[in-house]
Amino acid sequence: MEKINKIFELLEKKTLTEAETKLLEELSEPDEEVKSFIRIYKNLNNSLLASKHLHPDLIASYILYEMGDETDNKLISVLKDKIKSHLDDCPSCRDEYNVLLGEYKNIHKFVDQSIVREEQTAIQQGKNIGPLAYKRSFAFKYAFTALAILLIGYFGLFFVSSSGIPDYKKKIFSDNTDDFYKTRGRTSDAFQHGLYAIEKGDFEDAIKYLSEDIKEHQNEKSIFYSYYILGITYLGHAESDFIGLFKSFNKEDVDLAIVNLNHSIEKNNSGDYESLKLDSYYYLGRAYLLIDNLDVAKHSLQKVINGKGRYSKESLELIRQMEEN
Amino acid sequence: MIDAESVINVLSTVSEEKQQIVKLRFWGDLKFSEIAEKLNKSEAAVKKMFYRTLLELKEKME
Repeated sequence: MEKINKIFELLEKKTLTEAETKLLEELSEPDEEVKSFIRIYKNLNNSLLASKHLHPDLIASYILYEMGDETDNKLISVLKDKIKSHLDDCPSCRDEYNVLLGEYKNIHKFVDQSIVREEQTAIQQGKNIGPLAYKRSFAFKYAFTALAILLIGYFGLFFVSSSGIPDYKKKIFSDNTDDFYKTRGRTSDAFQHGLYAIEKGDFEDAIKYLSEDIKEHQNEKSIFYSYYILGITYLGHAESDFIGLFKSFNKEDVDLAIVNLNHSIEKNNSGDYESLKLDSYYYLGRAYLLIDNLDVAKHSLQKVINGKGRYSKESLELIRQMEEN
Repeated sequence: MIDAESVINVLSTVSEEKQQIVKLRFWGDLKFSEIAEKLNKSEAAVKKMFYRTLLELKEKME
């Protein structure tokens, strides 16, 4: 983590001294993925800054923001002063701005005129707009009442379904996912695809890619990390519910999670990633809790506590909840 | 060097949040701590997302 932070610190600098350039190379040296990241960073930095002018997309977004069409555009709300100041100083970008603003105004004028024409046609055809609005208001009231009833029903069911699940089966995944972008040397395309799929919540694709990574790189030293991520992914895939209610867990997926987490522990034997081994024990404990194998779950969680793993606090809490139930 | 148009095209295929982080860094010249503050996220989360987005862009451009 310290190393990657140092790399970010160096990349933030506008210019690097010779010593800093050398340090950046040294920091990235053993890791192909980090080297690749630095290369693409430099490439993007050069291509996006090369023209010294504002990109038309950025100017167009700025106009939409200025005209009140996209006031929630965070990018522009942060950069608007910089953009304005650049437009004041750069005749070329100002010309581009004026052209785009002209186009924007023409489109608006055309849309406004079309709407007025439609309204006039409706009036000429003798449509009674008043009662129609009245009927719409009634329809809205019915819709609102129906929605309120549905919501009350939903939250009632939510209460019933939640109270039926012991606390130790809820919220399997920790909020701390910062560690997830560390790849522990896994640089294969399949592994990267797996991570992207997890990010999108597509566990099925993630399982497919991570299994492929394991199959193709069985003998690599860092393969334990793919097993670890695959184990956690199976846990995510195991969970299902009906419109957020009546949570249940697929036993087959939980079993596969256990198999992969155990592989992760077995293959993590270089001594460099002991803390990750404890993380595997934590998720192993959680998996056993889902299938109500409380003794084995407790045994795994106790290992996390004894080894002072980063999920020690959570493990203690889970054991407390188990003992309460 | 990759041309800016290709970068913009590929960038438009990733999520809005990822685009914002990349654009704020390169177009806005904001530091990661500043981006985090503006987007109401932790600095670590922004760095993580930036790191992975760049690898994703690289993959899509290859």
